[in-house]
Amino acid sequence: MQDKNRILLEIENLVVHYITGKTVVKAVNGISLQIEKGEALGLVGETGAGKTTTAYSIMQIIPDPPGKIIDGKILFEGEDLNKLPEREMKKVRGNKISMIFQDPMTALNPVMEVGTQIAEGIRLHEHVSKSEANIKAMQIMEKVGISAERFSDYPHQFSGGMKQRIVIAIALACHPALLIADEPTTALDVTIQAQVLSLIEKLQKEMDTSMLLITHDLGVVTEICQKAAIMYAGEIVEYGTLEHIYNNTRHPYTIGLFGSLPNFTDNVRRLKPIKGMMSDPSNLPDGCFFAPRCPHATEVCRNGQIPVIELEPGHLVKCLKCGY
Amino acid sequence: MNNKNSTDTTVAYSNEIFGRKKSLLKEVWERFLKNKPAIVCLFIIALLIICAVFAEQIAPYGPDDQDLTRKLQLPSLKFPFGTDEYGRDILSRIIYGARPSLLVAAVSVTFSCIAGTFIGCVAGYYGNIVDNSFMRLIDIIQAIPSMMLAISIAAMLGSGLGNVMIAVGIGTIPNYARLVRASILSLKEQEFIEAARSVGAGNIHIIFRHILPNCLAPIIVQATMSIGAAITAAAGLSFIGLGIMPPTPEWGSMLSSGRALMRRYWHVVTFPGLMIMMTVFSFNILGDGLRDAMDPRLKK
Repeated sequence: MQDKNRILLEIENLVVHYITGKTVVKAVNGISLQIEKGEALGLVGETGAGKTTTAYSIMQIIPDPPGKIIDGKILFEGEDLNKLPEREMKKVRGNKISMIFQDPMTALNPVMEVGTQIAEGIRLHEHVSKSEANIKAMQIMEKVGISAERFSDYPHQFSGGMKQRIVIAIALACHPALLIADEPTTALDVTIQAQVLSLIEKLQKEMDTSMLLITHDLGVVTEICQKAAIMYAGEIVEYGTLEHIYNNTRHPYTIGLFGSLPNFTDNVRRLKPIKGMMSDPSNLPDGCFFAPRCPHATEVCRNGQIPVIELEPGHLVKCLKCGY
Repeated sequence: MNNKNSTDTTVAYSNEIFGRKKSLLKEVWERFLKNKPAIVCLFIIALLIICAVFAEQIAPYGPDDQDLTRKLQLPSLKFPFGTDEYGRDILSRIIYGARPSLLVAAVSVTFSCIAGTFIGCVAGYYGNIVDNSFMRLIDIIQAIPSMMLAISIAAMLGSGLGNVMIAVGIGTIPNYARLVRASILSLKEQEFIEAARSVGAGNIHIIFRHILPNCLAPIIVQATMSIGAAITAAAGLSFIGLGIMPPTPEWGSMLSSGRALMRRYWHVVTFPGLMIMMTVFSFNILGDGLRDAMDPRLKK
């Protein structure tokens, strides 16, 4: 059993729905995961799998209405964030948990100097003077590889990759215990992606921050993370260390994901994409959500609750067909 | 030589930094400078403001210096705009008249701008019931023609400078409220607002530091444009006797008292009328110019 003290974030059976009129979009359907101190967890899944909703739930910034956290616990340093009053939550956001947003083009305020935007978090959480906060902000700018001279520049004067560095600087300004990176490289071009990733990895190690890395790129996960969780239709279908996920892949969805990646070592002529589309989250099927697309699905898969099976310690799979 | 070169590069370097730092305002200013009519109007407005501030020094006569021996004289070198029925110099009265007009415009616009922005912010940001109740209130104000509203408020409160300001100001609150609310509705969905929330910023902080600066440009433009309307409204109120009372020199009341003499003495009403027209026109063109400079996308 893991040491309880090492666990920083523990999500238990989180359920988040978006309710608009009569339709209920079941974005997150009972996910559980743990992040230890200093550890990086990759949350992988396709668009609409509920990855960002999970991140927003941890930050408690789900737009309400229409979003609602229906059930579950988000224990951060032993406290349930779902029950924390907004006043207390404000002290957690940006200070203990912070977030890197997907698109640096829209995540920065266009009419505010970037340095001020970095200093903003410091001034909100640490009782320091404006000039001290500015000095701290400049130090962080240097850390993410942007000259402190550019403190007074506006976002439109930076390139996409540099803007993402600023976003990273904002997120790390208060040395958070947990960093949520929501597809930090999706909006960047390929040459910059590697730089930004290695920067995130370097800073995460340096500051001993835990990280939840949200991505749909399995390659990114291998580079940075120690554990991975594969999400499909608001559920974690496979969860384990990189060793478990990559070398002992069990869930048909995860197998499908790997099948749709180009591979240099095997002589494969065609990629094997997963057939079909993800089920409509407002109208999910009974039984296993992946059953309609699953090549191994049988009648038992289409009814009732699918249990989570622990194949090895720490390797969890939500599938009836792989448990033996 | 070598030394000079190095200072040159330092200067160039600091200029570069400085230039970048100022670029947002500078860009707007440079675009504005290209707009010749707007520059002319800015110049006219500057002149008017100077006239209003230094009226004592500029005006050749006092605004209330009566002399019945020189009444109703046509424009001449001595009295460039002529004299009125009490022998007062019309040019001097127009110069003094810039004071109440500009003052009413400035105060009423500031008042309605702040009130409207506040209502728009609260309504747009908090949404739902707050939005509905505030905006229905705004609808009620807007359902009444603004001149009617101003007249009834002025009639209720009585004449006087302060009351004119309130009467003119209230009618334009809906314009700002709607404008700001619309901007906020689109702004609050932006990711940087979420990002601000994710660093622990509260609602008030987000509204003042992130949302308002982003919708400042349309507010400034709207304010400049409505200065013209405010001047017309104030002059209109004075014209019908609900605004600033004679003998205080005011363009609207000068028009009003001169209208009986209009057929025989054209100059008594022409110059105050021209002044109103020119001022309103200048502010409108300036507003247009500001809009084009601040948001080049809007320009056709």
